[in-house]
Amino acid sequence: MIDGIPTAGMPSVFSVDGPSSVAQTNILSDINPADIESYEVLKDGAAAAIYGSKANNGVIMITTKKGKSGKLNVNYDMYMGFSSPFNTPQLLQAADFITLSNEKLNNAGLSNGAFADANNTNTNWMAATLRTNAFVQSHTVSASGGSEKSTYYMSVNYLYQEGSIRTNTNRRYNFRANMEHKPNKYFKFGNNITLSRTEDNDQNNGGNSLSGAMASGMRALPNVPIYSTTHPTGYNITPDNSALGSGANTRVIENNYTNPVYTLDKNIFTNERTRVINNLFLEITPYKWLTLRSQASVDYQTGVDFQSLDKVHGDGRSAGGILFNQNLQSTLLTWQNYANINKSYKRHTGTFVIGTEMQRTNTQNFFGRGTSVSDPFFQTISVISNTYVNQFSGGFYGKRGYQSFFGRMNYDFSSRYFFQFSLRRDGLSSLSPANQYGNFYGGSLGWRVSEEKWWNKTGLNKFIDELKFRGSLAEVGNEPTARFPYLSTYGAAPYGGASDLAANRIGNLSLSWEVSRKINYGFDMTFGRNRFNLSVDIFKNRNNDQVLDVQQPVSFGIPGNIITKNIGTMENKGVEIELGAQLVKGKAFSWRLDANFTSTSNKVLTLSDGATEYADGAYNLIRLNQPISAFYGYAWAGVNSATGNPMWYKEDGSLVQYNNVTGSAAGYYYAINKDDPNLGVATTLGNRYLLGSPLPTWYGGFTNTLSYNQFSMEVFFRYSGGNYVFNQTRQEVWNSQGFVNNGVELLDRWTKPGQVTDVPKLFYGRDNLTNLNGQLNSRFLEKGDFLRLQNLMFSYTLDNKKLETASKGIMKSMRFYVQGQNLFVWTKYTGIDPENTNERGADNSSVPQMRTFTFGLNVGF
Amino acid sequence: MKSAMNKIITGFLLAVLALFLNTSCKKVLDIGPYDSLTDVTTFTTPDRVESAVNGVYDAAQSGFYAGGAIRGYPFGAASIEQGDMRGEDMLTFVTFYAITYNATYNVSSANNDFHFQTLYALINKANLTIEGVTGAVGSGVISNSLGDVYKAECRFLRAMAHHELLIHFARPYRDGNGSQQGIIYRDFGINSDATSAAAAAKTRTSVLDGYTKILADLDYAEANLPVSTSAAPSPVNASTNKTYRVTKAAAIAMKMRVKLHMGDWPGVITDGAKIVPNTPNLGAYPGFVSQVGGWKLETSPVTPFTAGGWQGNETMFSIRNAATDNGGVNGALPNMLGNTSIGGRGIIRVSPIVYNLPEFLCNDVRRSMMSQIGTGAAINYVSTKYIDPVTSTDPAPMIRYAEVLLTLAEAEGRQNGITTKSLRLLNEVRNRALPGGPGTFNLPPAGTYTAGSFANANAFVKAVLQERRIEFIAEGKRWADIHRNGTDAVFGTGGIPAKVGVGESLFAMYNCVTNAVPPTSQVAYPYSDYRFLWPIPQTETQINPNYAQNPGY
Repeated sequence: MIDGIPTAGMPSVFSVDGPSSVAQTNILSDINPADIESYEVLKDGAAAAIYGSKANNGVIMITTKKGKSGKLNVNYDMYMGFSSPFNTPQLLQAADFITLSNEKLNNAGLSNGAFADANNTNTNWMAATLRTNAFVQSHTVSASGGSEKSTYYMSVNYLYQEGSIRTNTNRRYNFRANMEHKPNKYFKFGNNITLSRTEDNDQNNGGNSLSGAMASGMRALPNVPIYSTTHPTGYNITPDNSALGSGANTRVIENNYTNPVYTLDKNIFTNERTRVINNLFLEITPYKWLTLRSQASVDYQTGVDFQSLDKVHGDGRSAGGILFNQNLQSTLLTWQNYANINKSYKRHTGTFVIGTEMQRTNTQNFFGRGTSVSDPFFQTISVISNTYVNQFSGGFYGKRGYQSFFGRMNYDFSSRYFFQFSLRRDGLSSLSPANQYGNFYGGSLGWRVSEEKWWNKTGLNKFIDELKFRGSLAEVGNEPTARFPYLSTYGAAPYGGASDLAANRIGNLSLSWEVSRKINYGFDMTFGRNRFNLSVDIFKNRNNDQVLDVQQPVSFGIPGNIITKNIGTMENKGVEIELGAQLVKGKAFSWRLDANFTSTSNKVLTLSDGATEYADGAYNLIRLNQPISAFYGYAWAGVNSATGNPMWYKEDGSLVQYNNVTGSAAGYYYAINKDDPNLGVATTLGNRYLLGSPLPTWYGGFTNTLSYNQFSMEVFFRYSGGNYVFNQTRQEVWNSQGFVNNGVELLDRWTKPGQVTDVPKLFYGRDNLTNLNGQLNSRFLEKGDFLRLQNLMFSYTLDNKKLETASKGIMKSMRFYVQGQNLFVWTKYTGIDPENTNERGADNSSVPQMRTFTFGLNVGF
Repeated sequence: MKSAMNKIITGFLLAVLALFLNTSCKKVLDIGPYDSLTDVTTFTTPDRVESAVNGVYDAAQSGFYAGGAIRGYPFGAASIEQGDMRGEDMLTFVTFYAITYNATYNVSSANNDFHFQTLYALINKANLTIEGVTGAVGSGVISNSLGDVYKAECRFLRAMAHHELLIHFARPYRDGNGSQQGIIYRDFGINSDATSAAAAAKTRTSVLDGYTKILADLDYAEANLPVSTSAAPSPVNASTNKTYRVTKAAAIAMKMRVKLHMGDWPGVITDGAKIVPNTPNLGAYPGFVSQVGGWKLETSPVTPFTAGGWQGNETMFSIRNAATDNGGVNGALPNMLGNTSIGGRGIIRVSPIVYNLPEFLCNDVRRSMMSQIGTGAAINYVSTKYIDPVTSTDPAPMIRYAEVLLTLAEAEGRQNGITTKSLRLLNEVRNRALPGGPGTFNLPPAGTYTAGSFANANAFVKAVLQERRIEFIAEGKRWADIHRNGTDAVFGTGGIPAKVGVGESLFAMYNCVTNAVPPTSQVAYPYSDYRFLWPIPQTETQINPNYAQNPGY
């Protein structure tokens, strides 16, 4: 929400024949932080409810800088710095790789495949893939000012950032202009515009893609070199160009993983995006107590994706080189009209708002794709006609609509008692005509106790400066993600290229609004002569008729195996505490501490159709009375010290082991105990358990701000925990049983009877049986608790008066700072970062986060 | 003056507001999809009905793999790749197919999960389309006779999908004459709460029940399918669809295949008589030409695998792939099986096991349908049957006339022993691969089989089975043969056979002279082992307790 106008996310268009756009970013990356005057997070349900169905997850209100009547103000803000990967995977060195690879093979009855070459090559592929000392710089110039009747604010910004993958860069140009004119006391009009252009160079980082930088970088064999003089390209590639070269190994890297340095050097994936956010408003004030406002805005985004895959090696090899060009655009139109009535009578103040809002989103893309490219010369910037043999194209168009009527009333008695009530009627195009509209209400009450006369009389004001109790109850409708989840449809189903039709969604006409009912109550308090402030907020958000794509038995053959349904009720509840303390406030030295803490819990309260659980992918489960999307898998019981077999607990608590040998004796058997070499009777792996929740149950942060004369220091820590993270990278990559490099954890593998370890005997190709790939194995489920030193900043502000004198009035203010971001994380999580997870808590070949040091300067003229 | 102006402004604005409220709200929400038709409008024109029938073929060609990728599941490529990887005659050089190859699958293994899923997705689309076609006939959109053809096509595909399920997820028919646990046969469309509830109530029936329903579908297909795709009443474009949609002869051939699995040798012979003449042409090659549709062998075994031969005389039914629509680099046949020298990945290779079969002569023409891959000691052979990894347009062969002849030869041999007819059937396929072949029955090439080539009838049947392995290299038929003969003490392998270890294949192991059996570090699993069946995927059993899991998983 910017200046009261909702903004769109970039269209996330799935394209079958090409990569999905890299342009899936949120508004915050298109707004220059220097243009933001203030932002406010509306957590209170009733406050958020005013903004309707898009506000279900809370609202961030961003207010941009406006000009003020008076003299011209010019500011220059810059920073530049460097960043490096904060934490990189710990992988095997060449010698260990050779030992472990051959052990995997030998245990499977196969012969040695890994050998050291004549140079004893030991390549650090991660260092060749990731970037250290990535450069970042940003420059903003802004000017503001105005006359009695007109004000303006303008800014331009340039940002350049290098990414953690060696070839990734991001460049952004941003322009903003806010203007307002008030010809007389009846009229006011204005326009705010943001133009932003972003140029992204973003190589394939996919965790599952063969030439994904992280996927191939972590798996690349450490005992082979990056470059080779025997291959015509100069890179180490097999003679048939299909995989990373094998060096002295007699085996080829598993599944044709490619040379990541080659693909990073040769492949291109760029996105250029232009965004215009324009907001025009007219305000008429016929009477002092009545304001009529109409505002129309457009948020228009257009992007061009370009991808080039080299014809010699990597994902483009089979097709003789691939070119892909895609144009995407989306338009979000919003029109709001409302009347605001504001009346005061003695100590009574009332505000009434009534209005309408409508939104329409259009999303569109089309692409051209070519394979068998004639020459690499034509593969650098765009598809060029007639430079490729096979031509493909495609596209998409979709619309959404949203319509709302709303009214709201505020009442305030003497700044002591507060009352608010709001009512909306929202309509969505994504629900069937019968269920399109929902009515939602919200209300809140407040009591500022400290305004009562008796407060001062009783002397309470000596202890507590201000105290306010508040409570609110509100309902917000939530919009489904699919465009038409209620419709049964037939879509394009080409049979060998011909255009045909087949069922592509089974709809559900009874699908209705998901409603969030939010209850908040708490108090805000200031005490110790306004030096301390404390807010406590108890919240309970209950999602009724939660909408979910319910997985159907795959033997029904329903498209996508899902039907979108209202599945039941889920609840989030907890408490949030915010504390601020001005610990020291001297003339020269001051110290302020701000801290917040949230404790929360999530629970599925009811499920429809009498169900007790719903499947939620391969690793999670939605079960009654449990947190939503809880981890669901097999309970790891360690390694049998006599045989090296992996073991799990069955549902009755007994031990089951996978007898990891060649031949038909391989299979699941009971284990008598953890150290017994004998097999029990044959059995199966048994049932899965709920193993924990991916949702943090506590989180928060604290900031210390210290200043001494013109120096100041800010230290910001963040923390979070109570959740689990599924370390899928560790399961599938670092512990892989294929002919690829591994993590150092594998050095602890079981090798001889009596050895106590948590890493089972190695066995080539048995990832799905020893690591349970494709399943959740609690061996790879780790606690996600962490404490992060997010930000540390020292700054020095020059004395304004001295500066003005020294610069002869040219400069009004100047401030320098040095800043370190993401400096340290304290965690027991063994993956790269406990926050690198998807929405279901899995960490899969994620790109490392960066640690950044910057130097900055702000000058006012 | 002021207040008058105020009133005018206010009145004007309220009027604008009222106008806006009245007119715009309906339009904002009255939106439909631009990329899909609704189910109500699909079966309303003849063209759309035709498109929907093709949509069922699409489900056979390119169902969705994990995350929406297309990898040629179930029949566009995967049934061939999985069918070969379960057998010993083709090998996976890297672990890409190791789970299938080494039989280390479990309830969440993606290959068997998505094979199961996409087969049932095909079945449901067939059922929904049968119902849609019935509706379109009822409302007069298409004629009765055209409706019958469409329904016959859907029922053929439905039968083929169920048979594929039986081959992978159930014991063979010949283990107790169909008394073993089968699958769930779905014969109605699932698209509502009521049909979902009805489907959820179904449980696994016997193998016999599955085969009975498959045969009922195929009988209907045989009765209603046209002789060729260009024959009335189907409006399908004949020249581009010749083998890409099913015909009467394909239905008969599929019945022969199914009856072979049932051990119903007389049944195979009865159906065989409809598409293999009893009296062949003795003076020309090919000697056998189908009475229905004119299908026959090409003179060279290479021809069906050339771009010109894809729509030739021999391939009776294949699944069409196109540059815009195929299994891609992680699925398409030319990519997974093709030599790296032409842009393929060479992951699935010819095993020394089949290469060294004594029946596979050193100078057999079919050896020219292989090429060397790799360097030095690690040189292997790959099949060259799939030729286009660059745009992945190779069709997936489902039924060739060669299969019809060998199926009939086997049934004749098992039923009647070595006869003139059974010998001719085998030689028709084999002789074109002999040097100097194909010759004719009157003037056969040197090395042609005679009655004296076999010690007894069993030796003959054995030779037919070996011929199938050689003729159908890289066509995914090996598992079906292992499966149907699982309990056959004479001709069976007795379970999953031993295989050359993943990545262990060396040039030295390939030898057509010594016929040495190569080292097999991937050991055999007996028929009784639970791994002979694939597990029912967890994506099914977790939600549908009525789909009982196979024992051992």
